[in-house]
Formats: sequence, C-alpha cells, structure tokens
Amino acid sequence: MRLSRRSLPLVAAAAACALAAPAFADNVSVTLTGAGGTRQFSVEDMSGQPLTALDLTNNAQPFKVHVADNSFLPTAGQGNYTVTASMSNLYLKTGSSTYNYAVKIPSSQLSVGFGSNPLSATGLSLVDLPKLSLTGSLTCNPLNLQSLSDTLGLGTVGSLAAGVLTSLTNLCTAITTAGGTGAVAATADGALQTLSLAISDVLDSPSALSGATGGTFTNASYDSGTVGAGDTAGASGAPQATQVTLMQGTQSLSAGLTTLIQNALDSGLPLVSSTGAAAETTTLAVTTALQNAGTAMDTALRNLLLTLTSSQAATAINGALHLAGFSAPSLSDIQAVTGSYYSVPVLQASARTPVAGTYGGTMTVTFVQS
Amino acid sequence: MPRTLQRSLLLLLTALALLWAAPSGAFAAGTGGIEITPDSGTGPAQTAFHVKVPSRGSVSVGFFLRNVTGAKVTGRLYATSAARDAAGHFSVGDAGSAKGVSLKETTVTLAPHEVRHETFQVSGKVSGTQYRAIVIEVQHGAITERAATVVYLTPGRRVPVPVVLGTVAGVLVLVAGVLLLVTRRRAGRSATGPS
Repeated sequence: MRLSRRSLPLVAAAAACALAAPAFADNVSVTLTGAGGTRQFSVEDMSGQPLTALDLTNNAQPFKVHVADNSFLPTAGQGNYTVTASMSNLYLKTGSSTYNYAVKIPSSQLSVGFGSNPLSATGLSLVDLPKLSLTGSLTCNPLNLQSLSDTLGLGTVGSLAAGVLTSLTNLCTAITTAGGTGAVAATADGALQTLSLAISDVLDSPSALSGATGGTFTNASYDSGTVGAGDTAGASGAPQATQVTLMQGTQSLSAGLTTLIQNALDSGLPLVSSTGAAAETTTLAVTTALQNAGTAMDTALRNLLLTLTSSQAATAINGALHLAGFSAPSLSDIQAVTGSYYSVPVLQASARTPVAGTYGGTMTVTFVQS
Repeated sequence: MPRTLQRSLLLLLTALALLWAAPSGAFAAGTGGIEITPDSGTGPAQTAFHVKVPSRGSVSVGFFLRNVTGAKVTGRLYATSAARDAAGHFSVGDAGSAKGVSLKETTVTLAPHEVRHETFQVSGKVSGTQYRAIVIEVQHGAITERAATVVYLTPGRRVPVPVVLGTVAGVLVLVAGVLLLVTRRRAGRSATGPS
C-alpha cells in the first residue's frame, strides 16, 4: 500500500491517537438503583387481611380500603385516584359456586355507609429536599485582617497560603466597600431528609383524602368475572351499574402539610461538615448559593471558600453563616412518599330474602389512578 | 498520583454524581402485587397513559407489568372504557368496553419480582380528549379488586407525515412524467415537422 505525502500526517495522527488510547480507555462501571416505589391498592377485613367474603347476617359489615404508597413520587396534577364499588344482585346459592338466578335480592337493597371518621392516613413519611435560608454578617478592617481570619477559623494570617491570603484580602475589600459590615443572605439546597409526619387532618396528607360518600347500589353489576355475569336475563338491557365512591386521593401540598414539613426538618445539625455527612447541606451547595446571590461580597466569600481545603471550608462556613430557617417546600421538593391511606366503609343490607337460604354475590372495588 | 488513576477517579466521581442526580420514586399503581407502569420512553414519567392518536393508522403504547412481591402472582389484564365526571374523578367500565384500544384480555402470571413489557394499540378518530383505562384485576372470593390506570386519548397529527411525504412525492413524479411526455412530443413534432 502506498501512501501519499498528504495522507502521512493523518496516518501519523491516527497512530498517535491509537498509542495514546490506552491512557483514555478507563472503564467505569455505572449502576443505577431506583427507589423501587410502589402504590398498591387492596380491600381488607378489619384485621388487615385480604377480604374474601362479606357476611351480611347482621345486615352490616365494615371493611377497609387500603392504598399503600412506598416511595411514591408525587407530581402536580398526576397520581390522583378514586376508589369506587359496584355490586351484583345477591342470588340464591344452590351449590358452592352455583346460583338460582331467578331468586335474588336486588343490589338496590344494599348500600355503603360510613362512620364519623372513615378516612385515615398512617405511617406517613416523606423524603424532602429542604431549601435553607442562610444568613451571616461579616466585618472587616483592612488594617486588621486577622480578625476576619479568626471569624472564619482560618488561623494566623501570616501562615495562610498565598492564594488564600489573596482571597481573604479581596473579601475584606468587598466588606469594606459595603461599609465595613457585609450581610450575607442566600438560599441553599439542603441535604435530603426523611421526615415522619403525624397528620391530624386527612386533607393535610400528601394524598389529601376525601370522597367517603357511599350510597345505594341502585343498578346491579353484571360484569364478567362477577356472580352477576351468569344472570343473562337480568343483564339484558340493564342500565350501567351504580358505582358508589369510597375514597378519593388528590396529590397536594396543603398549608398544613407545608407547616408540618417545616417543623419536622432537623435544624440542629452543623451547616456543613468536611465529609459532607451529618450536616444540613454541603460546601458545594453553599458556594452555589453564594454564586446565585451575586453580590460582590457573596462572590468574594465564594472565591475564598474555593481556595480552602474541605476542612477549612467547613469551618469557615460554620463560622460565617447560620441557618435562619427553611423556605416553604414545594411539591417538587418532595422526593418520595411512604404511607398508608384508609377508608372504612360499611356494607349495609336492608334485605328481605325472597325464600330462605344463602345468597351470594360479588362486590367489585375499583381503584382508578389518573 | 498517576494520571490514569486521576482520570479514573474523575470518571468515577462523574458517574456517582449522575447517580445522585437520578430521579427516585415511582409512578406505578396496581393491586394483588401486580403494577402497571406506563412506559414513557425518554419523556418524563407519568402516572397515566397520554396517547396522541393519529387520524389514520394506529399507535402502539408500551407499559410495564411488575410483580412487586416475592411470590408468584396472577391477575386479569384488560382495557375498559373510562369516564370523567365534572369534579375530575374517573370511573371505568367492564372488560372489552374500550373502543379503539386493542389489548387482548388475558390472565397474566408473573414470577416473583418479574417485570414484563407489554403493549396495546390505539386506533380510530379521536376528537377532544377521550378516556380509556388499562385494568389489572384480581379475585378474592366474593371480592373483585380492580386497579385501573387512565388512558388519555387526544388527536395526533391530522395526516401522518409519511402520508404527506408520499402524497408530495406522488405529485412530483406525476408532474415530472407529464413534463417528460410534453418534451418528447415536442421533440417528435420537430423531427417530423415540415422541412
């Protein structure tokens, strides 16, 4: 193979790249573990076991509708749900799973009612990304740089590295320009906190609960998979089955929940730590907040922090700034919600049996997520 | 520190930063240990299906079925009609009532923690917003539990792009053919014309 003179440099460059390639060909294993969140809906008896039968011997039976969230991610306008129930007629049983469809108790003699407090939310916790309001006040006299160094915990000015000293001097100049006292006010993203919440009002839960209205099953269900599906004569021309509402959940962040979150956030940790653990936030988040704050003094403080070791930066931040409080959270600050939402309906019967015997039917409970 | 090691550490830190930024949480919902999660591809995760339906042809919509338990689970999977009331709450119909949605009613059995990808097809003209639902149903004796995920159907492009492109290409070919024919006829007349 003959190569032209023009192509020689290209070949040489390609060869150089090939030779250099091993230095750039580091393999990095990348893994991603999702939170694996779930939302499961179930119908349970009062002891929390799956409900398999409804005994109306005493004309009433309570049961539980349970929506269990595990690391569910709330988003505005998404994840709302409604739980409804429909009912077939009750037919005279002629065997374990056979019925006399000519002998029935109409579903209109069955209804769902509720006690005084049918809705509840328990075991609620959420992961929140707090927003920290940071404040601080720094003073400096150019003739006494040591005082500022002491405030920031940097030690003797004479022993500071040249870069650090320059940044400290620039910070002092910015403070002096501001009148000798510089106020710092910035908002920084905090470290994720998992909060346990004791909700006193179901409307303040992350899924605000409502909709325990119930009602009478005026029109029977003949849906496939139910006992009513076998009643072909009854199903012919039958109106749509009545669906009574048992519970509704709306993703929300009420004023009450906002206050609960703000009060539950841990404010007792140091602002930052050299390792990044056991602290309200990180050095990176603070320098980013100072950059966003944008005043000359904020910028000078940020530049100084960038010249310090992680240990020095942590000391300086903890010396110069303090946590004034947490900003009101928004829905996007909530990373995951775990908890159980319950409704306790009571199935009631005002039935007069046409003939003596045992009657059976199917209740269909439907959870719809939008 | 050797340069290669430095580079490796940098890449590792970058990877860790990406992992830190990865979204957590989930959007799925279900019953009996089976959950339905809309496959939103590279778009933002959704708790419901949002489907733009072309006026011609059909669109395929993906979703995941996941067993969130450590035991084998079985449920009935189907599509239904859905209705939204004035307050924004939904109710769903019976199996087989989902007009325009093709999802074969089937009984699914998932092994412990199994995840399966499924699809359904949507076709037919849609005006405004219409609703359907994908349902997973489990039976516990006299109780039927159904977990439904709403499908929002909205009109897609009036005419799919391939149809438009095909039509334009056809017209261009026709015009080119006519021009060729006219040019040849003129050339023929010139050759046989009066000398």
